[in-house]
Amino acid sequence: MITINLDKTSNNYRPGEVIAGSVRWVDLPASTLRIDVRLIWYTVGKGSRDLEVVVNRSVAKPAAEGQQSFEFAAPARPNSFSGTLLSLLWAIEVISFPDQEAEQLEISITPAESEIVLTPIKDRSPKWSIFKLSSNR
Amino acid sequence: MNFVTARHNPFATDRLDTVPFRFSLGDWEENLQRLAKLNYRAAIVGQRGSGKSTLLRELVKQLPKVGQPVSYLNLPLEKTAHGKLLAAGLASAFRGAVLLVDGMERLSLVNRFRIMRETKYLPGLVATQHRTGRLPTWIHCQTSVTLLREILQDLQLSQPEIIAAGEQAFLRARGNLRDTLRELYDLYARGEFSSVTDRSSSGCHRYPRGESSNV
Amino acid sequence: MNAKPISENEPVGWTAVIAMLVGLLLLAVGLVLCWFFFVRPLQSYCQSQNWTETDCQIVLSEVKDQSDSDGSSFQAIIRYQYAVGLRELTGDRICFLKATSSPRKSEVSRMVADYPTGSTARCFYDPQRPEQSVLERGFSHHIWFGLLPLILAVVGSVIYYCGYSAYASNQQKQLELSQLAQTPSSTEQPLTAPMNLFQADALDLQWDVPRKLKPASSKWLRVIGIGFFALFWNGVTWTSFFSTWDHGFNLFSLIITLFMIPFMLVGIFVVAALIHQLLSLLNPYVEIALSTGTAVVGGQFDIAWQTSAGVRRIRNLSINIEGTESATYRQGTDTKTDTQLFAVVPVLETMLPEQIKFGNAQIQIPANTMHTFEGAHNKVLWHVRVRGEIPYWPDVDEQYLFRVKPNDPVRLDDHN
Repeated sequence: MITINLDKTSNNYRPGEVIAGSVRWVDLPASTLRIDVRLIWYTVGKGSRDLEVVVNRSVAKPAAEGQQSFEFAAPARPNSFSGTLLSLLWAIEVISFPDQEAEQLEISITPAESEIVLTPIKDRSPKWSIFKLSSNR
Repeated sequence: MNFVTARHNPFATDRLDTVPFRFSLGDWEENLQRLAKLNYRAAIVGQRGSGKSTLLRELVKQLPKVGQPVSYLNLPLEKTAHGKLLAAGLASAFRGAVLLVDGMERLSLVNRFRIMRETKYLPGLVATQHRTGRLPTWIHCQTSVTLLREILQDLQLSQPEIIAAGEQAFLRARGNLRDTLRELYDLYARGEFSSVTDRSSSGCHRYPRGESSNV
Repeated sequence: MNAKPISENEPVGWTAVIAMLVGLLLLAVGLVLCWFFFVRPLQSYCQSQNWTETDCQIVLSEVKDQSDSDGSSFQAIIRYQYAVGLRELTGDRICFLKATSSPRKSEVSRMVADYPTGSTARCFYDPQRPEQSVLERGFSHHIWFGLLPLILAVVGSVIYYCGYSAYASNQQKQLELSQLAQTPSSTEQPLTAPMNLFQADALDLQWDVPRKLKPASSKWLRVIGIGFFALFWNGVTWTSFFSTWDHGFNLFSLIITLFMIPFMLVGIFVVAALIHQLLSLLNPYVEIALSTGTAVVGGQFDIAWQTSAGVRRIRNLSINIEGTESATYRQGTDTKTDTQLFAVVPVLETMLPEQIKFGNAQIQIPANTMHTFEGAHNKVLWHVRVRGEIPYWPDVDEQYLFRVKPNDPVRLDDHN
């Protein structure tokens, strides 16, 4: 079992701030070759998923039980945000190989206190603008 | 303006990815036995948005459990990369994996012929296609209003207003479940299911490594 | 488990290279055909104006049926004899600028009827090379058909240009990526990592200068695109329609006509769209310039606009800064993109010609909003939207993309 703990109580980080924490694992199979600790962003929503592994650090040949601290600098972009079509989320993800047992902890990286929310606005442009001829009002 | 953000929309692609495929007959064990009888050389047939890709992606997880390694080939719409991808997939198959191809019809006739010929003596080939072809049919995916209801139940969205909207969308999409769920995404995003959208949705979004839509 | 998707590997610019090759091929074929069907006949026509006129005897005049499985075709064969000094010469060229074969027998028969076998006529020969001769050296409007292959050449040029642009941009991206987007992936380092420099940062730097913006889509490209589609679609449908009525009224032609009506309506719709686009080419053009092509979230920048001739035609001009989110997904064998507007910052809404002609304003991007984000499938984009109402004429409606970068956290701290 893998658990992720952050040093900070809140999961909100500002760009440039240090994301510090530790990964703890117990009952890891003897066949485990490595544990990857990753800082990732990914999108959620109506569209196909975009994702990027921004930082990837490995612990080679981990013991069955152990702990490892980590420190990443929160990137300046992309900021965490949510609109109606897509949300961009950051997470710390830990994966053991070759079993691919994984654990994620969602965080938010924005200059503000919480993620940016994009409020939808109705587009008032005509749908058939290709044929629109304004009348002489 | 009333709206629901993408991360809280239960019809977002990552949530739909968690909905399991439902067999109309039998369970995984029985159907895997049937696939073994076909020498792992079979087709998943069905119309657009009927769950072929979902089933194939679940097969990616199920086959290794019965000791059968797999190589998964999700063909993009752009044909330019098909040759390279096919070569990589076939290379894995030569190392003893069953080749799973999503979107056999996207391949050119030459590449289809090539894949059929070169996998003849390999561990297997399971492909999704819209119509029955040279490969024997393993599963024929079919959609129904009952299936839509079950999916909505899985997503914990059995409220009558959602079911009613889903059934109408299902008819408009002519049985295409993928399009139905996308229409429900829009309705949910616009906050049209007022009795449901008030509930809090939180928790970590599981990030399935590398895959996209459900159906 | 050996089940990793292998479809994420993207091709490196092969589509662009193939597009360039196809474009070059079409360009070459178009130019060669144009040379043979337009330039050379025209050249011969010009030269023949100085040729010597003489009497000739028509020795053969007939219509040759060249029908085969591909269809019927008829060719006019006229052979004539003429004398140059003591030499007796034979010629068979009827004219330079007109086709001597046609699928319609009547057209070819008319040509042959003018020169019955055994009759005498006037022909023209080249005094330098007397074996070169022609029966008719007048001008014919048929020559303009020889320019049709130029369409192929233009299509080829457009395809080549698009392919080249895509290839160049791909190369540029690769270069920028190799220089800037260093994603560490080593395995045996301590679990600390510095902040990365993203590719987007490089683009922001590149755009962070005073900048005249370009419209997101070119009107000319739209006209060319719709024009070619209209030409192709209407060419096929209307030719088929007329050919079914070639042999008069019958049940078959009526059924085919009924079947063709939806296709012909689409053709009329496309022509209407083309006319609309052509009219919009004559619209006043609004130029947009920003004090920086990369605005900052919560930051201010200057925007200036200038409208070209025809300012008084615009009844009402509105300029807004707009932010949109877009998501692209697969729909069957197609991809679809949905967009949603999330920010509108008004810049100008006026009916006064002096304000429409030119002006400037200071604008602020909202503080708690999203910067430009360009994923493979999902995007957040910012643009200047210009709308101008022109009575009884296609409206001005253009979008000009610019970039918005995240606020510098240090600056934000100072501000707080």
